[in-house]
Amino acid sequence: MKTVLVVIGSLILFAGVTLAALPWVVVDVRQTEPEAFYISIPLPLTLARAALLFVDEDDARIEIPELARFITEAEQIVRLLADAPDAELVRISGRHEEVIVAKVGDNLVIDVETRGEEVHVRVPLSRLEELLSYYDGEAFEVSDLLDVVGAISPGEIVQVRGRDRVVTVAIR
Amino acid sequence: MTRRVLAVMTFAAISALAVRTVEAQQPRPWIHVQVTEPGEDGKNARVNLPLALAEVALNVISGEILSKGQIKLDKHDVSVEDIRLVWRELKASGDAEFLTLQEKDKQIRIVREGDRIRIHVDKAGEGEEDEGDKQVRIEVPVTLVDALLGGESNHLDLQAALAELTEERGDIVTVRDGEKLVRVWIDKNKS
Repeated sequence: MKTVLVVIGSLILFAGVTLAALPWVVVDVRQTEPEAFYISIPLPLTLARAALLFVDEDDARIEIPELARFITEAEQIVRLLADAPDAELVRISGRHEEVIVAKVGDNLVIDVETRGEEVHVRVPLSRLEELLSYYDGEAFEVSDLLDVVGAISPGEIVQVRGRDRVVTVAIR
Repeated sequence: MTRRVLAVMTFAAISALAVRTVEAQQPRPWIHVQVTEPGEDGKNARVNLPLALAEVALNVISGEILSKGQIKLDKHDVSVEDIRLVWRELKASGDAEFLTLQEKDKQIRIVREGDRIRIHVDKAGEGEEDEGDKQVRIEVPVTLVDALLGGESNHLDLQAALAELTEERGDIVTVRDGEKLVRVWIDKNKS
């Protein structure tokens, strides 16, 4: 009996250590007013991948047939951006809004600020290039998408900051 | 003999490497668009893109408008073939004032000066509601028009024109509408 418990305990410990070492997607929602709350949803990508085993094959695909016409150009654009030096590519500023698109290192960074709301998005170009290479002419496999997300360097990838709520999606 | 072959191969390899290094060091052109709209509610926009991106973007534009990087002008009264014939005549005439149109409140002038075609349009503001005089300044290199009209019959070759733009530096289009300003230029700077 003792041996069985030790084996089960070791397996749980091994699984825990393995999961902790693999990338997680963490969604944080922090609300300040009127009812302050904080919720954090950590999602280990390994579990998401395992869950795909129970999903119908068709449902494990994201169909975008329209992309087929532009996939070559999309790949070229991403490659050109990746090769380009760091630069501010677009800046639109008005009285109540500001949009900035910049290339910073391997990332395409999009910052939008409008009437008290801010959106920050970081798109790693190398991962985007990798994702596009998985396109089969009709769709992306969700498992490939998970691989790409798992390869993103740790840090925030999306942050939406409103007057009383902050939503963050990060890779940890 | 082997030594000579090796020497030639080494020289070729070093030359190829040197050419690649020079190419890599040459700054690639960037296209810039600046829109300035002064005033409290005005908007300002700046776009800085590697020119190579514009070439790729051309391919993304709908096939209905473009066919292999060329614009169809079937619905227009003037065919590209006609424009091409006129252009040949104008080009052969050297530096000249191609068009001068003067009306009460509008003036259009198209001239060729050296390797440039300059198009100037000036229009006076209308009444109190109008924000001011309009001024359009377009500078087009002769080689750009050559490239644009170098395609098949009734097609404008946009890809060839863009390729020509990679050699271009400086202002391409300036539009001043009262205090609003739109400027498009190409240089080696990224901002």
